[in-house]
Amino acid sequence: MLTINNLHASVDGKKILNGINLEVKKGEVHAIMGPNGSGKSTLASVLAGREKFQVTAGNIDFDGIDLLELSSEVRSREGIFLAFQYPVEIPGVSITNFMKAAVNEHRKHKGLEPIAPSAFLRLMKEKKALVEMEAKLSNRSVNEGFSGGEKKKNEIFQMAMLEPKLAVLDETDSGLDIDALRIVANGVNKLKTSENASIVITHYQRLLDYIVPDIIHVLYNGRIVKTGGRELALELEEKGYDWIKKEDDGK
Amino acid sequence: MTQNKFTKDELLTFFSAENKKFVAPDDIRTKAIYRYNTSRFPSKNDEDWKHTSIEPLLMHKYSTNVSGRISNENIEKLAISDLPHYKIIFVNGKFCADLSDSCFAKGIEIKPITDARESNNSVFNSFFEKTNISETNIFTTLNSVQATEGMFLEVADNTQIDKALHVIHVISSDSGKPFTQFRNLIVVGKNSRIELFQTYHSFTDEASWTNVVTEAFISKNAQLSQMILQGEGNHGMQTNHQSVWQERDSRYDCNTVTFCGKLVRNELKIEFLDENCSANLSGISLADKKQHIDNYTNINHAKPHCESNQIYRAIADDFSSVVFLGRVNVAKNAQKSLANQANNNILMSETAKIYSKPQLEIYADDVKCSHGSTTGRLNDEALFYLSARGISKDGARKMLLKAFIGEVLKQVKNQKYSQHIENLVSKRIDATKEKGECHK
Ligand SMILES: Nc1ncnc2c1ncn2[C@@H]1O[C@H](COP(=O)(O)OP(=O)(O)OP(=O)(O)O)[C@@H](O)[C@H]1O
Ligand SMILES: [Mg+2]
Repeated sequence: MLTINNLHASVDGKKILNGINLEVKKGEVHAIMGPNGSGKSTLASVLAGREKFQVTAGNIDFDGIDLLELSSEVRSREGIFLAFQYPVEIPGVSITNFMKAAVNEHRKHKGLEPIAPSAFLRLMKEKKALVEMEAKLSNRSVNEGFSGGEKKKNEIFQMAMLEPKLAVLDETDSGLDIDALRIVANGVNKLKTSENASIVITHYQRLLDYIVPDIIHVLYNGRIVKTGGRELALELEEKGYDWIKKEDDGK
Repeated sequence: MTQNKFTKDELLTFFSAENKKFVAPDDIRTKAIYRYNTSRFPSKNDEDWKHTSIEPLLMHKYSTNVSGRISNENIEKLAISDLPHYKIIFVNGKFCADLSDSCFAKGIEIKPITDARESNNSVFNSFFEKTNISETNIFTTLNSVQATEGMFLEVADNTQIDKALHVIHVISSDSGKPFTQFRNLIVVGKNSRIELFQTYHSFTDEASWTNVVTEAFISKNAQLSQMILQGEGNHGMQTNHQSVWQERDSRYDCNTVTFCGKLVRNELKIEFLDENCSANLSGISLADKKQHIDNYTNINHAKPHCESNQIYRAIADDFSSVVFLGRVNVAKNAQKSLANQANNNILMSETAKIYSKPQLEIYADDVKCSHGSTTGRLNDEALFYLSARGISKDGARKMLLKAFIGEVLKQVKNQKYSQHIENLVSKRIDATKEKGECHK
């Protein structure tokens, strides 16, 4: 589904990604771990099409299309979803209006008519239930004054609304208490099918007890320096990143 | 000054040439003429006029008697739908009885201000020029000299009006550049409540100048909600000064929406005469092309326990400029005053300009005052967030602009009116063109 080939990216002249190679097949869950500042969010942003990051080399193939050719909005409509590490507050834009616009853009892309108001309300209700989101939250402005947990739930709620092919979850678990973590992880698991895939960026093995990854990658200095199975997460939890850094710096 | 401009002297004799019925009583007029002759036009050296040049006002040869009619159909179009109201129409400043409602609820008296003067109306006699408004600046002085048109509105004590008043001002010209001097006197009696919409429209592409001066008095425990919409086109100019005096326990709300204007200068001056008054001011300025919109507010917390809230927002595009100058004075004995002021602006082009200057002078110690001013471009993070959900950059931009303005409309209590404005703002924003894409 997704093939990243020798991806290099920089921001404001600073090189951040230094040759990423990654292949994600449908039905798979990949976890990306790595020390702070290693480039995890940058990778996520580049996948989602943030223009401020310049791709200086490499390519990304997404189901046969050249992802780097597409604007961020078209990538979304094609089925890429980024759950932001730091969701922004957007005063004055209600979640309801925001989601209606987004859903309709996705439908238009597929050649469908705008969604009927009643169907939209039903959809909202169903998806809110999935992440146990309070009903009245959707009348509030996007993320404005939301608690950390509410913001993360809101990300998964949006993901549920848009049913992406590939979801990139950037530290969706950070700052969540154990109940919220369970809710968020459950939401993600319920949305999982054999046709879609996800990349889960996290610092904590704890999340991976809930969202079980097929493959774990370690990102360091803008490259994937290690790839392994679930046991890698346990090892990292136990030993930290120093041994990986040493191994890599030694090369 | 170059040849083709109006000189100060010409301006003075302009209206006086004919034998007219002036609004101001003779003694006030005579004083105003003297004051006018000894005043000068404000310049960039004047603190309050630093960013607003009055030159555009003096560039034209106006005519006093432009003929311009307006059809009932066109008036209908200006009405605010689904909102029960009385309508009062002025065309080029002149009252149009045939287009206006003539029966009002008990307690409301509304008529051309010259009628009030001629009938020796006691409210007119005791309130006209009570705030010394003609001494405020050269334009209010000029208005006192020359105004021949205006509105007198008296709301008797204990009046709860069933419908809002909608005063529609239309500029229309078959030939010539309209120049209107308009004078309002508004007196709201004890315990009364009134909603007043004042909307300004233009049906001409000619340059025009409307100089409006308003005195408003809000008696004990009374409420005046004023909603002003300025849409006099790309060539319309307006100088506007309003003084509001509030008695104990009174409330004043004012929302000003300026959609366009070659030059618009709004001055709003509030005086709390007694305790427990509140004033809530909000403003929206949408400027583009070479327009210039200036809002100046001045609130005097002369007494304790009063509250003022201000939120002014502007979007400036193309070569336009927008000014906000908000002055709040809290007197030494005005303890427990609450004063909030916020001014937020969005620049949509490299060539647009915003000048924002909050000025708080606080002499009391037990007060809560806040002010904040921000000017910037649309939030890049928010644009990306929206686009990452499939919304086009252009759609995201419009959504954020509407939301930005929508926050001001939350201050407007009349839901139908705010819906009306929201629709107009939406239309305006939807019509804006996309700029070279907005990353970084
Ligand atoms: N706009 C920018 N200008 C300069 N450097 C940047 C910019 N954005 C990110 N960086 C740098 O790029 C590097 C990678 O950042 P990134 O956010 O991708 O790390 P991360 O792996 O997600 O870290 P964390 O675990 O803390 O979330 C960091 O050193 C960061 O400071
Ligand atoms: Mg990160």
